[in-house]
Amino acid sequence: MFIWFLGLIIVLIKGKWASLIVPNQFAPDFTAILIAYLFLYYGPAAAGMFAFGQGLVMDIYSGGLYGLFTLLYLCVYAGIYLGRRLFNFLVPKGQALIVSLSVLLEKLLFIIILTIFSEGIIFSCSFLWISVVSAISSGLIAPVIFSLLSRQKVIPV
Amino acid sequence: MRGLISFYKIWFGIIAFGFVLFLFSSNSGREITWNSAEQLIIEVTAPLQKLINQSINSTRGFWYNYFDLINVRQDNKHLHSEIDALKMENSRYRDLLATHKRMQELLKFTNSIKPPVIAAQVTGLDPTGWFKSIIIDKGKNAGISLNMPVVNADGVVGKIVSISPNYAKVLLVIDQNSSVDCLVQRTRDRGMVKGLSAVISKMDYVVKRSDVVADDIIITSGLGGIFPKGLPVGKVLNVKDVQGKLFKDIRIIPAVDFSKLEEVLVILKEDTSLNYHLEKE
Repeated sequence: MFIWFLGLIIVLIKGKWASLIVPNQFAPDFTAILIAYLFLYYGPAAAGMFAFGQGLVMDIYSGGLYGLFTLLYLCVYAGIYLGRRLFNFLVPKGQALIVSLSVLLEKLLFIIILTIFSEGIIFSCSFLWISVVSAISSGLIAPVIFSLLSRQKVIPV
Repeated sequence: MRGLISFYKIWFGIIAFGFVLFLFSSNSGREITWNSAEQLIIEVTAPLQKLINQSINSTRGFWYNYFDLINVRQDNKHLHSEIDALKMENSRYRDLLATHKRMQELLKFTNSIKPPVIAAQVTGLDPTGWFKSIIIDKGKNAGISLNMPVVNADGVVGKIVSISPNYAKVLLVIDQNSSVDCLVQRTRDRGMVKGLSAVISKMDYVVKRSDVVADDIIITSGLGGIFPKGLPVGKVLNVKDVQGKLFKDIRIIPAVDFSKLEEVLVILKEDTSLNYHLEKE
């Protein structure tokens, strides 16, 4: 419940925060990190539900295509699901890699979908670099957030 | 048992994917507002966002006020010398005031036939950073409906794209999916203003023979059916004639500073294009 509330707060303040501190595109994807955290400590079902719910809230508040962020966060979930088979999700290095790759997958899918569905949007190379920066920063910060949040619940599923 | 779990997993995946496809399809080809479930989510979560927003603003205000106090002594000296200069200037403006009063009477008449407006506060910004939309604290209950134009003192802000009883979502003119039919104020050339980024927009479909130059003012043409004619949209930043293209490449600085958007006005006008579609259906 706490993670759901935290996720909701992140979505609600994200726009304001971006206008004050750093553009959202560069910032770590905290929702993706929370999905990974739930996957690790509460299991795939809880993470899947969270990804779906947060994506839906994001869609409601966003001015983009309906369903876009629901799909993107389900892809993050799928990325984590597949990633944990390739890397060790229990060690910080593995967590960083899995979260980075999942966020990168999300960003790439975002670019592909918008290129197909939205005529007005033109992506340049800088968008790709921004996505890479966001993915790496998400991956680097993920183990730190995991350790902070796991003070409440220590045993990974 | 294991088989049963994987069966549920597959079904969860199928339902989630189907729902996303449904969301996509429901959005294609026409403008939609929030459905009942989405309105419920907005009505529950938006007050929380409003509270957070107000807290951030108050903290920021307190912080800035503190720094302002440090410089207040120096500012005081500077202001005294400025007052003397302004006294001279003031007498010149008195003459202009008389002219202005006459013009104002004429303007009052014009304003009396314009539709009423309602003020709203911005409670949230787009959380994704990729799209440009805002949430305002007025909805259906305040008389707002879809496609109503949103403005502020500087010019066009956007249009209403989703509404719930007490909140509404505004698609800003700087969003890449937004387009506004506009005129160049000086030359009367028509074009379509589209968003590029938070600080730059572009004006498409302006013919090459037009003599649009930098600093020309862009206003709404009133032809899109949403925005009334004559509202400022922006100022021309630069004009390029690209070889092999039919139209000029025009970049615009929006009239509104979207980074400091706190209050907006919604023009309560009936959307003629929406009525047309409804009649057609």
